[in-house]
Amino acid sequence: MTLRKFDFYHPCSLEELYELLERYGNRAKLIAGGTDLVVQMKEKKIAPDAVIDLLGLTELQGMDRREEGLRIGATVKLSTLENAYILIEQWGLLASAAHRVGSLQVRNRATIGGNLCNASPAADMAPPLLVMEAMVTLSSRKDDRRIPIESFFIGPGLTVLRPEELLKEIIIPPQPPHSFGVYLKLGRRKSMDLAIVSVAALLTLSPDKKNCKRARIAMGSVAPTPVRAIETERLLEGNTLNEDLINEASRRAEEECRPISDLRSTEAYRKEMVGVLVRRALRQALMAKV
Amino acid sequence: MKHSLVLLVNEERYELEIRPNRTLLEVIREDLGLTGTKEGCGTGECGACTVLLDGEPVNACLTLALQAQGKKVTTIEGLAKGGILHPLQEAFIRHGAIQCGFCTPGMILTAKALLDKKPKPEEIEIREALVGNLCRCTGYQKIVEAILSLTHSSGKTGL
Amino acid sequence: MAKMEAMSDYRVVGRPLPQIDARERALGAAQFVSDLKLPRMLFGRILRSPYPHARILRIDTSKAKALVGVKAVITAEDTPQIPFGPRSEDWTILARDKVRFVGDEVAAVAAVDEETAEEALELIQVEYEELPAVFDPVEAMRPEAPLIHDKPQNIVSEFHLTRGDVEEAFKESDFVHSASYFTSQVYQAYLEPMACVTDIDHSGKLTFYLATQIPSMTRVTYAKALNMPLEKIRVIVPYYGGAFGAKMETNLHLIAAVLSQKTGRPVRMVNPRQEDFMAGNPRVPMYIDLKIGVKKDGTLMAKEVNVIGAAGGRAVYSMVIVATACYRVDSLYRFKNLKTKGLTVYTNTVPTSCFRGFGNAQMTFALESSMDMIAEAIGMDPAELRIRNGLRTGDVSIHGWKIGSSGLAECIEKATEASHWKEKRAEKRYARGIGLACCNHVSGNRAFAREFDGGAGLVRVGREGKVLVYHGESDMGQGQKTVFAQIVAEELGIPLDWVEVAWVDTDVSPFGMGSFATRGTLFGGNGVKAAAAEARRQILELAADMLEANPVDLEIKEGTIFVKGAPEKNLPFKRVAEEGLYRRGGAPIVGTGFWVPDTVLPDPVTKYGNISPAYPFACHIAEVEVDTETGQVNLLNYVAAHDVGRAINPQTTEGQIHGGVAQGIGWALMENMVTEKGRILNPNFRDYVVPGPLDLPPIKSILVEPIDPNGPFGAKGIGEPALNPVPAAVANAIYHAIGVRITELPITPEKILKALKAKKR
Repeated sequence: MTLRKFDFYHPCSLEELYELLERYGNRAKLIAGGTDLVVQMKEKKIAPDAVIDLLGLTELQGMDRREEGLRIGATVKLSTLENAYILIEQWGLLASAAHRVGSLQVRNRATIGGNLCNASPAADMAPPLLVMEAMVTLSSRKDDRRIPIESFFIGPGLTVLRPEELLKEIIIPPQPPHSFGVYLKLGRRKSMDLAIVSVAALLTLSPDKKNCKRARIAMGSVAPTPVRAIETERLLEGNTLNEDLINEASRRAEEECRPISDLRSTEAYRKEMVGVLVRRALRQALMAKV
Repeated sequence: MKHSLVLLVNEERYELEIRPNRTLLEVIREDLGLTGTKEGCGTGECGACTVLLDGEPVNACLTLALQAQGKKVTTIEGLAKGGILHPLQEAFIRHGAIQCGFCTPGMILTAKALLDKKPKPEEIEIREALVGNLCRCTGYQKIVEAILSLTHSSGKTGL
Repeated sequence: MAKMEAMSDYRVVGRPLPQIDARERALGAAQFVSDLKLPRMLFGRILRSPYPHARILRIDTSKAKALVGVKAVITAEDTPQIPFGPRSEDWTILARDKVRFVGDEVAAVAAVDEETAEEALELIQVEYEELPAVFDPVEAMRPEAPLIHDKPQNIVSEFHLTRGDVEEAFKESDFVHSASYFTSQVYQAYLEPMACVTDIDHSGKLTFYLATQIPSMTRVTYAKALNMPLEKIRVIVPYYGGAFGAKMETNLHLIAAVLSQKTGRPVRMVNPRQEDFMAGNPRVPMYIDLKIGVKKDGTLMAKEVNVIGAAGGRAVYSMVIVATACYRVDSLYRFKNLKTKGLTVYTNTVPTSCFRGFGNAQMTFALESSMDMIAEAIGMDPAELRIRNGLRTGDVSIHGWKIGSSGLAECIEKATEASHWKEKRAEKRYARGIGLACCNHVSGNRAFAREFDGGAGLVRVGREGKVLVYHGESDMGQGQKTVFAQIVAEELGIPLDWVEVAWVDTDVSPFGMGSFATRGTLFGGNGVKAAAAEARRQILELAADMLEANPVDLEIKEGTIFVKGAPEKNLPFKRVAEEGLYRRGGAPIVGTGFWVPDTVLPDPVTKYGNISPAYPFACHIAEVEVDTETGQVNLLNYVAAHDVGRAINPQTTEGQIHGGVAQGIGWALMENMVTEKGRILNPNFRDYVVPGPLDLPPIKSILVEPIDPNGPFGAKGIGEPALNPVPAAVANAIYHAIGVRITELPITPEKILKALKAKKR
């Protein structure tokens, strides 16, 4: 399978990039690692007139602490994230999710920005960012706007990005102390696979671990976009975290999700597995060491 | 419109003029004639096209050639030096880890990258590292044995 | 049965040596078919039907032809249009008036590069009239089903076989068990997609560089299809990346040939992976109804079986596969009364064909699952039930198959011991279980080969004593070349590294039936062994003259020829080879040899007759743990005991076992070609999931060597038996673990959860 012809650009400054985005609009595609884009181009799902390489832009690279939290450049590779020391303290959930994406070969090219902009309902980076209440900066020549990650996805493959915009960075706020995060992904086999269902859970517990002060739960592959399980969160918050509550929460999560049947799995199985994964995630958070 | 591309492949410098819609895999195989790197699926699932890009395994079938501009590419042909096999190549041969051999170049390069980073991985770490390299002939067992055999040597493994 | 020769009697045979061409493969230097580049080579691509069943009204290739870089565009008109086929006459090189499956070949392009060829495909305009289509073989036999090939009820062929009186035998049985099974259509997933390079010379002679398991038989079929004399077709087999049964005759090769004829240039044609899924040769899916009667002491009384297999849009080898499914297992156990019916039916789906096991794999799943249920019903250990009924050395099966050697009982004993069978069957750990399955197979199949069955070789001794071996079979990675080299080295008394095995080239190599039916080692091995023996005879004759001794007093060891009892009288092998050349006007020592078994074609009506010179057996034991919340199955351990006659190379034999078990696990648990109205929805490795390194348990292989009287050094084969028992072993283990019996492959988590819930109710 070969790729159709396209113009190729490797801008070295944001100005150059903005100009290209304005010139081409929807006829151009941005490329970072290319692990989703090149596949889609080969499978003839898209045929852009121009491909614009983001890897030369330093503004999109690197990770650093800001007052507002941790800033991650859009073109930071998943292989960097999975081993990033800076994440351990508060944002380790993101590292473990990054580790679950594809293969070593894919992670050595794929970027966090690419994973989000591809906007698959199964995107592995989304559930952790949702539970950590991250923000994304969408940048154009006119301005940078910052929106919560929840508002970023519209539908399968669709985001709020305007044709002249790019995703510049992700900002993850500091997480409350005594928080435990878990990312669980169910595939069709243990070796690399897409998620049939995925669940991220971030629980903030009281120091004696009996009370759930704050709960954030997000699910992947069970709705047109990655979503938070708001009702399940409400059910947990402020309550004693015991087996009964965990079971009730898992049932509520099953009710909250809206999966479909496709060639990978059925609606019924996905629903049931959301319940199983939520239950397991909550149990694991409960058993995690302080 | 063609772009100029400078590639460092197996420590040799190549200057090419290519169209942007060429993948690194196509350029390596067709333009440079290095056919050790294989195409098994074209969509980054099988790993037969694995090359090392600045030492890291990537799927050459998903890498636009122009994105490898100025980077160091290592293909299977770059492993043996002066007719002397790389220890991984020797281990694969010795342990019967090669049947049809189509997955072998990619498999060896991924293993090399692993051992370069972590000279004594556990079996589970080896298996995890290889999930991006499909093999249909061997069931992976002798491949894992071959790689493990290099982790038990004390001292320098020469990798 | 005592071994005839001790292992230590052989220096090369029986040793776990690395493959002789492993170095080339490890270096990335081995030239695979899809690597080959010839001067002025063009790149070919095929335009395939998007419809499962449609009439072709009009094809307009003008725009494609006009594209710069396109050198030829062909449709059926440009081909001889002679109906042909490996076993039928329902193929044409390109679709003539109708397309019969999504992926059917309609037109083709040769261009200066891949990109241009792909673009040209998009410029070919085809007008279709869609026809009603049918996708299931049972549906396809209904009166209202559309006819795909004008065969009544879409039936390609029927197989009937009766022995004894099943009705009486069922009446005499203490227990009768019935079950229905479905075995799925799975894809071989060899790493190198189907590929070929064709070349044509000034005289019109075509050279095919093919990934093919059957170089000589292919040539015969292609000569007919291209309406050419056989001598104008040459087949050369380079390295190729796996096959597992799929790489036999295929239109891809013929289309490339026609493009070469039209352009006068070499053409390389490689299936993009997606197309390989769509137009490959996946396993024949089968519905199997199986009824078995047994006495309470475990004696099998009667078996009645009905098989319906889908052939797809045209018949490849599916009818032979269905026939095999029908009756091969009858020579695993001591059956006395049989009633068998098999139907092969056209469907508007991708043509199905050979995949490791060849029908016997499908039936083994059914039989070994039923045997497990029967064992439980009569309160007998499943291992004991097999031993009681298994065929033994010297037995003649109900179809006249002569079991020259059977290691079945030993396989069962060793497998049960290695897996701690008794203890694990007794202990009842939650959701953990252990299951057993056996299989038989053939090493070569006279019924498959039409004109003859046999093996031949040509051994050429060079002036420096280097030996070049020619054979007619095919090395698809399983280690055939190495096994042949070991046999020749052993026979000639020389070191292994003096032996090279040539690429198969039908201009030079013997006519080999090929590598399928687990025949390579036995037939090809016997062929090259005979050739080596002849070369040895000539060498010793010469050496005797040079040493002034009697040839019968001479021995060859490690490349030195010496007089037995007077080893100081010796000569290097190389010296004799060189001298031989000089004395004979430059003629090298060449030994040709052949081996023809005393097998017979089965009687066309009764099917009686010994079809194979040897029969391998196996016993597999799988240990699983089921996650009862997700339905996922985790394989903990796997033991595979194989009767291989003798392992010429224990290392390559083990490698084959590991690979076969891995494929069997994939088939059992995760592989599934998902289709919708005949279209494959998952034609890629993203969604057609095969086992990766994290999905497989440690596999312990046990080699049992009863030393077969017919095999070279007693060897039988390993290829297909390595896969046959796997799905049943896994299914039986799952049953032991959680008490649910799944009779449809794949055994998915969804099916397990559904069954668990049903069980609760």
